[in-house]
Amino acid sequence: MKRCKECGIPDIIGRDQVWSSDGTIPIPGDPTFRMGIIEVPVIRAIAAKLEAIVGPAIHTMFMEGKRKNARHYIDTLLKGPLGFLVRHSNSGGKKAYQTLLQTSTALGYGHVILEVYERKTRVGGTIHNPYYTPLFVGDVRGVFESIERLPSKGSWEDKGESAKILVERMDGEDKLAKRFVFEEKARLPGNMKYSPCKTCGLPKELMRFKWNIEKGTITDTKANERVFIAGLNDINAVFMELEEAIGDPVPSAIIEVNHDYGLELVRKGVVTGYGDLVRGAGLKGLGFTSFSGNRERVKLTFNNPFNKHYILGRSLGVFEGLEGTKGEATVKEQPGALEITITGRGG
Amino acid sequence: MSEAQPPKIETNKLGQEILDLLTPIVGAIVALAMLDKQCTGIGVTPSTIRDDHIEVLAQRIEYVLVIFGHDGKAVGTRIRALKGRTL
Repeated sequence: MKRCKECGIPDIIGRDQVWSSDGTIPIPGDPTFRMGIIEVPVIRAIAAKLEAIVGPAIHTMFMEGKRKNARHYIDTLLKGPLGFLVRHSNSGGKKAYQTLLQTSTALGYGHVILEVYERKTRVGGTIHNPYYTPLFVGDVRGVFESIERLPSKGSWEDKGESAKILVERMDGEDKLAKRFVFEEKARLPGNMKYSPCKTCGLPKELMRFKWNIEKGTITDTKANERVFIAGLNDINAVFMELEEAIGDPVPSAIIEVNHDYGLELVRKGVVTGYGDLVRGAGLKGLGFTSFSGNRERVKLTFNNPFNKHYILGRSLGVFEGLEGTKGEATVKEQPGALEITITGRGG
Repeated sequence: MSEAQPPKIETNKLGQEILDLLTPIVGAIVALAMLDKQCTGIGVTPSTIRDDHIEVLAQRIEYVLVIFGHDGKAVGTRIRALKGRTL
């Protein structure tokens, strides 16, 4: 896989994603499709917390959310003659899977080996170092559905550091065909500024992330943790559906995990002030942020926030870490915008 | 990880019957949270459900149960059957 000679980031990252001044990372073929950099420990912790409430069904939900958006993502990549070739030539299908699964290594999903492929029937293999297996199975289902133009079902077997996965054609009714679809209400401007790499144009700030293409991992060297790049609508779709079903336990889980994570960012020295939170959120595609206030009262304004609860939890954790006291938040929300004012509980 | 505990909510007889239907399907925690959330969505509580709320509650529960991999319609039919039984 080719990398930029100057910044070392895989070329494919700049080809398939755009770091925008509005704090989002859209894909070139569809500006409404948002990517983001998500911390692996955070998504796993949220999944674990939700599993304690709803049981293993949560993993199927994450798979479903990813499936829809992965299919859309691949549809966008396979537009025009390329798509025709992939979908109609004898060898095009398998080659396309291999290429697209290689792409997934650059997104930090793990190292994938394709072992089984029968056109319009099934595709399977092994993923080593999976970021979160249900999401990856959702990815493969999306690829299958885009290439084969058929609904799919997926299964997996976790084996510690690897997992066996299988995606097959689904017969019968696809009861979730219209579910797990999240659409952003509005996109607002921002003036996020990056230092572009002179060779590839990607933000040099991304150099804090190290790609291990052999393992299929991305490490945030500043926080010393694994991250992955994925469609944010996929994850929002799961949160939205589940919150519609059972209400408060969902935002509570998202807030708690992100609160703890925000606190940890301060403890690790990754965030030493609100400016770090602002820059980090933008670089990860979580939204364009500004802040004002003082130690007793901090106002954070987000344009294009990824998810209200995710951002709120993280902001509360950072506040607590920086100010040494638990914070209480008031939240104002408008389409595309979120304003969080945090005051110390003591003050 | 500590096991999540079901929240405590008050129910009337209809609310309890719906809970009794849902609990074996999705477990006590989800059943309670689901009933509470779906009641809130129509402006009632699990302790103020009346016969005339049953149809819309059944529709809502049918809809959300599908994401858990369950046959929402079958459950909806059983909820509708509660109408008039608990007066």
